Amino acid sequence: MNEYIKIENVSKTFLNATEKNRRVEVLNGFTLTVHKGEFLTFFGPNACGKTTLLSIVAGLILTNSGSVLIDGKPPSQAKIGFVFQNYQNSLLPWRTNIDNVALSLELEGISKKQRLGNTRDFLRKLDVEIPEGSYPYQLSGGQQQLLCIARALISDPDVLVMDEPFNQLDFQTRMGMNEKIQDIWIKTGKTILFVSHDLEEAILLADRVVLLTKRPARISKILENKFSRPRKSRVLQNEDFFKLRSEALNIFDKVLRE
Amino acid sequence: MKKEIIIGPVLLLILWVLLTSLHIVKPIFLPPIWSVIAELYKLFASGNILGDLGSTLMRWIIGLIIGVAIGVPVGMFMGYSDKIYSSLEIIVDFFRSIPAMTLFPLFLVFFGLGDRAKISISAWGALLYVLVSAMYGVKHSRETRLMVAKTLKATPIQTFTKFVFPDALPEIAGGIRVGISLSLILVVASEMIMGTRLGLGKRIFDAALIYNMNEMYATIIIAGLLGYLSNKFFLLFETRAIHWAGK
Repeated sequence: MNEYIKIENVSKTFLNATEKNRRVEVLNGFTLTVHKGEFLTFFGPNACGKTTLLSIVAGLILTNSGSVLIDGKPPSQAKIGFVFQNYQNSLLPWRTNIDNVALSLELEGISKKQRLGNTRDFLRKLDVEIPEGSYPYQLSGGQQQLLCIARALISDPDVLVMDEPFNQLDFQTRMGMNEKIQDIWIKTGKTILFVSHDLEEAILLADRVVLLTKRPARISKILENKFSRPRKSRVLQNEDFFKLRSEALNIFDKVLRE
Repeated sequence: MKKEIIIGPVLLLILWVLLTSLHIVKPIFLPPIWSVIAELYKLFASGNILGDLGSTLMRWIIGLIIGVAIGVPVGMFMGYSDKIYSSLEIIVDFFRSIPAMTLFPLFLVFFGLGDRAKISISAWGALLYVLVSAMYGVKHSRETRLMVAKTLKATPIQTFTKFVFPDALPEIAGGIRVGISLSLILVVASEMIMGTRLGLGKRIFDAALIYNMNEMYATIIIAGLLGYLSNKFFLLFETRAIHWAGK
């Protein structure tokens, strides 16, 4: 087993928002290893520290202690693709759709002609069809989030981090996106860290589901999902899937009563 | 555009015609609409008003440009840093709260009777609103977009030019739109109070002094149209250039 992402002994406290001199412990000695190319999902109680964990891996916030290494590099030096829950506030509405996807290429200083060519090729490779010249606010929610995913992936990041990316989408669109993200994952071979607030989604997508405890988040249990890919939403009705879901639900239930 | 938009203005004009033709209001307060229209025509046909119009326009627009040129960068700078913002907050709020006209004597002392004082007043009027809107424009930059910039490892300059500045544009444009109106008001007022040879404010004031009501009303209408049209044109430009605002 390779150790592509190593999260070791990570602790993080925040100042309490209401009582200024109290600190809230969000992570305490969190340790996890992720394999290269793995699709890992996180599921846990509200406000348990999932987003904090992702933000640390993505280098958005620093740890108090412990270390994170992505392919041997600290987050500040690794290439991160991040997909946020709120796609509207994450896209740049003053840029056309294709310019949104090409953003990171532009930041890297690649010429306009080349980056547009690259972006078109990349979108074709991902099988993402989006009107180039219109603006994000003219697209549906699902298309906007696809734009964000393409933007995060185009510069070939070391890891794709997704923080409840399909939360704001309706049921039908979510079903489509769950299939699409697997498709994209298979095509790109990326390592994905995915936080979900929907247990079924977390299990459906994952190679491994990390079930977390209440704050400070610890690993309660890691479940493996060995169903063949791509998994359509039909899998949800499968008996083995049902057993996996029940197991996860029991664990979650226990976590909540702790 | 909705058809109803015309109803208000038409009613107002009918009211004007009724009030004057039925002799409800004396001509010394409100002259008949036809004579004001005739006066408007005369003012433009004789070229008489052009000097005043030009002077007011010149003071207004130069002042506006100066106000925007100072207000946008300073405001954005303030919005960028919480420390700078906090340390200057009271000062900005205080100056913003001073009724601008109370500063006329100060401008008079500093810049004299000429155009410089009036241009400065126009600039002041625009500056206040533009600065504050630029400041809040930056402060209200979407947190998520800044995180996007961070995950994509954008440099500070890239973060500014590609994320913060465009994100602030809708608010900046809103501030400029208010500034346009306010600086016109202040320029016209300064022309009335501070004395000048040419200017719409001066002409209105002089016409009122000798009870030339036709000329007074005609010039008020010109000043009003100036304010109204400038605002409408800017709004048109704004909704096209900043197409994403509110979306």
